[in-house]
Amino acid sequence: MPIIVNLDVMLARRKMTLSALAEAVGITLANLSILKSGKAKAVRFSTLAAICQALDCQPGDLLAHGPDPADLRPGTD
Amino acid sequence: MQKERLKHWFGLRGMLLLSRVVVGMLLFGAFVFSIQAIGRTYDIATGGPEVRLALNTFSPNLFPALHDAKAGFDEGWQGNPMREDRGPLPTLQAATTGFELAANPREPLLRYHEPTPWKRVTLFYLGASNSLFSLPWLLFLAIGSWLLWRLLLDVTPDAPFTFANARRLSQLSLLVLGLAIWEKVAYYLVRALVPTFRAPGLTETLNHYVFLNTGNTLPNVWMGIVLAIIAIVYRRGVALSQEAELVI
Repeated sequence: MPIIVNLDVMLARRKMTLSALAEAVGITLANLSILKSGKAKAVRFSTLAAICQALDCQPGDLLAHGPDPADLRPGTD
Repeated sequence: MQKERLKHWFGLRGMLLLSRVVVGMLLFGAFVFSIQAIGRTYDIATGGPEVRLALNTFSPNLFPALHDAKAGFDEGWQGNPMREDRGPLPTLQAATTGFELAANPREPLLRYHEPTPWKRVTLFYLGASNSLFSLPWLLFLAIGSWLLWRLLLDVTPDAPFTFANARRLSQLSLLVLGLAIWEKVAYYLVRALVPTFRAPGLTETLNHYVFLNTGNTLPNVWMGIVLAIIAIVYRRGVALSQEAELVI
């Protein structure tokens, strides 16, 4: 997956714990851990907006695109 | 608190529990009927040579709709008036050569002597008895209950959709469709096993009118088709639920 989630970087910048963010955003700690570890397949706009609101940042601060030649082959994730 | 308790017993959890009890009883029933079948097989093989077969003299046992359509077309072609029912026995013929037709409150009964034990046993297993028992019925009861039992054990209120259950539903539909095909094969076997007795008023020999109890005890082909459609939709539901699993 060429999408990199920089949630841990933003959490460190804002000096916020994952559980505090989970409480502020209103999603479970387990789901937030999936997002942080990059295992999530998709993120809802509503979740992204809530995280951006809680961390006072832009979606671009949380997500980055790091293409890998293997990912660009057709038929791969 | 009261509402929570009601939800527990009448919600999905309660229904699952109730279904497991019912299907468990069906499984136990299949076991009991299997043992009973062994005893009946011994009785029939070693007992008297008399065979009793239920008849449905309104239409032949194979492809009755085609027969009725052809008969109706022929009558219309010859200009005959339409009849309510075609081909019932006009009067019961008693004690003619080799067989006897007996009056039964619901359907005529064909009685004759079959000296070969394996033929009597085969007829019994095909469903030519007045009880519920036939081999396809026992298979349906045993395999169907087993698949349902496994399905119900797999379903939980938190995770009702699994690929294993989609596969079990497909197997259940294949079982029902397979037994519907088997029923036709069984009628061919009956025609081969029962002697060709003739009765006045009927165009075919009497073995064409033997009625097997599988017609009442097995689900029909439409049930199999409905189950197959449910299995396909369920499989799509499983795929969708797995796709949505890692969406945050």
